[in-house]
Amino acid sequence: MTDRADVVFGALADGTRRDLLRAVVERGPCTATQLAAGRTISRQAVTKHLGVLAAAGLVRGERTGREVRYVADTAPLRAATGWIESTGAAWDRRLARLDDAVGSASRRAARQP
Amino acid sequence: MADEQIDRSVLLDADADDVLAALDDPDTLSAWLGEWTPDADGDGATVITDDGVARRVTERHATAATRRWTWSPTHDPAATSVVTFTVSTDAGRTRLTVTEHRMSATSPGAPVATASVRWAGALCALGAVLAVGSLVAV
Repeated sequence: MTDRADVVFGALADGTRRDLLRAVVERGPCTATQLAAGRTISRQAVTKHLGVLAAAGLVRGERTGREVRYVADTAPLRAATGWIESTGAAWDRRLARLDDAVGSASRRAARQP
Repeated sequence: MADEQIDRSVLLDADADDVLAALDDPDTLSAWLGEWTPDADGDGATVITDDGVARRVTERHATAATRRWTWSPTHDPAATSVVTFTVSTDAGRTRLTVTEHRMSATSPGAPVATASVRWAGALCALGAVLAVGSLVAV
């Protein structure tokens, strides 16, 4: 896995950040103040978490006047899961061939007197 | 760098001994995993998997119900993974579970369980995020 993926999953290792990322995806562009509303953490804490998500490329802040609105980007997530997806698919293929290989062996053994 | 792990399981219509043999025998390994060439001495091997990648296999370890080895692409020896096969019986059939665990390069002692929990949380987030259609294109 790349160091970039490490940053992505490090950012997502925290439940509050996962919750915030989910909220940004669901709400669309929104400010830290809007995200803090209804949560038990301060706007400053939200901003700090958003900074970590931004460093991982999972959100980015877009300034409009005095406001910074955050938008989500899931491209880093897709890139980070590359090894898991490709390796999992490779084992799916290999195990299908293994099924054929041991099945054939078992059938050969069953035919032997 | 964080750990990564995949798990796969398959039910096979074969005896457990036949499945274990398929994990040991070079000819059978060549039939399903890739062209398997044992080292002239020692337990190591080189296998060319179906993606065309040649991998060095080292540190092979066997128990009555498991096989484990370490492998890495020959062109990228640092990308080391530990592959573990576990064979068990399941309703008269043989269940083979394979786990490939790619250990962190910076925290080689990181417990697998901790890493799995972390990945489980991260992948839950991934699933939730990817299920939402209103994504922002870059």
